[in-house]
Amino acid sequence: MSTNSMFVKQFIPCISRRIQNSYFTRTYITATQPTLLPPIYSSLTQKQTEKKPVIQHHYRIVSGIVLTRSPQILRDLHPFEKEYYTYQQKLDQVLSPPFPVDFYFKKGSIAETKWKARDEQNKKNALAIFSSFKNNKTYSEDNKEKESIIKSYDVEEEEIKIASRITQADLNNDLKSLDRALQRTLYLIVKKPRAEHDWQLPQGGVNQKETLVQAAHRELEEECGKKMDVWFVGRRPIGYYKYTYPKDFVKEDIEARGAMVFFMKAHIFAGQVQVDNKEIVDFAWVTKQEMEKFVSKQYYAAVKDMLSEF
Amino acid sequence: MLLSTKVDILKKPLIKTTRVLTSRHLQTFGKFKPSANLIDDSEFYPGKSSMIRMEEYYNTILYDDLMILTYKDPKSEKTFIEKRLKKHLPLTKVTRDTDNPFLKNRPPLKPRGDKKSKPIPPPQTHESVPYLKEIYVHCMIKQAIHNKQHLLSGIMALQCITSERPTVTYSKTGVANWKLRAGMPIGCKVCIQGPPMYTFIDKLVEIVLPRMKEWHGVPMSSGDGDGNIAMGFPASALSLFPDIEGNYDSFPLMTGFDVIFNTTAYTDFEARSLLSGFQIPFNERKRRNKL
Repeated sequence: MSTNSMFVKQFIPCISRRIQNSYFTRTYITATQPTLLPPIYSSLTQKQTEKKPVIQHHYRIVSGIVLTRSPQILRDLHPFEKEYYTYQQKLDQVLSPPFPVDFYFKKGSIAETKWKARDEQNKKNALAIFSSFKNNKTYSEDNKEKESIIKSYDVEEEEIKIASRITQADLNNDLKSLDRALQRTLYLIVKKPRAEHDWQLPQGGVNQKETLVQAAHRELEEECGKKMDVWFVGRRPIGYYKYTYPKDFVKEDIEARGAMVFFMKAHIFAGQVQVDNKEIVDFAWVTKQEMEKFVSKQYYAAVKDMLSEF
Repeated sequence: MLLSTKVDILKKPLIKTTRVLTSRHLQTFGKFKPSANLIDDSEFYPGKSSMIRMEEYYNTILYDDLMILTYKDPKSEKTFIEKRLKKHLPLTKVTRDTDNPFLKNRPPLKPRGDKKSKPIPPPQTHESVPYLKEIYVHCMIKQAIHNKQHLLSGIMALQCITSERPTVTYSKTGVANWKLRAGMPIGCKVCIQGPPMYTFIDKLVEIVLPRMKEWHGVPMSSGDGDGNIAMGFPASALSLFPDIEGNYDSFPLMTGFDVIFNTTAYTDFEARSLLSGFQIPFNERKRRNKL
């Protein structure tokens, strides 16, 4: 994530008074304006205000969700990194202080002879790289003998099967699967039933007396179903995006000229999105680079700094 | 002929003097630069030899989340700094009126209480996100009072679990009841940074902590208030490390040990959120009354 999403765009609609009192008690960021709220909270007025959308400076306050699936496996090494690491490993093998064999192995045990043979071979292999002198004939003969010893012992050990780093979802290019692109961070984008700006991050309007996180949680359940285990990272937005409504847009409120989207970061741990075909038509789990193909240019420019390169 | 040799001798000193850098030199030359890490050097150490899981996890996932979680809005940042800067002057009449002639040409009054002033965090940037600086693993061996040989077992155990050689610690004060005098070797400690630190925390979190019995997590009261958190382990936890489990019989003495996490965080809250990011559990029940 680049820094400017956090430190430049730190526009927060309103901050509750709690923050002033204590430093690190969990702080709320409410989208409501405390001064505008009615002085007496009767049950009737509460019900009326609850579904009232929040509009500030003629902009509708909207909560967006950056739902991420973090990388599941370590990234592939760059060829140069790989070379560097193998070189350092060899150096380490040659220069490391002697291993206390007597401490770890009983004298004359199978484990001891096995370890000694393997260690000797490793050191020889490592040294062979640095020394210009190579007596290939004697080396290969020696190695063959020792390899046979090691192999005879290895039969006893269980073989470890390493799973493939490329999954079936990668091969099928299944954008809906959470098992794809295991090395990368994936982001959820949803498709709305309209011609323009159809693909975007899930979002929804904030109601009165509701925090940004509460609104984000509610909207995610409404749009993408309840079958997801989601954790929101803090209660602060990580970025914002402001846009004016197109002229032919049917406004819910006459006051609002446009919308201001505050993005909340969340992690998904389990479950999957369920499409209801009403609010959203389609969804996809994409990386930052893939997202550029789906969303509009303007939207991507606003959103890209929040997303991870890894 | 003679003259020329004389001049040569004067020019070049026969004994080559080695330059020793003192603290005064360091001040004048600015930052001390360590010599290049060359293979021919006797002090050469190999670099990072593989990608480390926990380090990679911090850089790709945890860093982003911690930036969000530890972010302070300008207002609360200001109040936090003001709180730390505040000096608690003695509650006397003199401190209230500045025009008092008593204060003229006198040194400033000492603050009340013996509280040390806490460090003030730098302005927030992407670099001020807390990270794990180093881990100290320390063990005190009481049996070493009577027999110093017992220290070896502790040293070997710490070396096994941290992959770095510990140093012996000496008692600062004597305890008459234990027959301990000041300056006696009493334990050992090791400081680990970088790759060994991340591999140690990996082992701790994945293998040792889940297998510990009757342990409910690090108490919330742990921490020095400046973002350093410590936890203690019983002797039974030492045998849970995979490096020791294999040849448990080789260690004549099992000792309890402390693990101290030094972070760059400025508050315990930040340090706790960093460590819980590394999957170290915290016990919510053992919360001290005043946080």
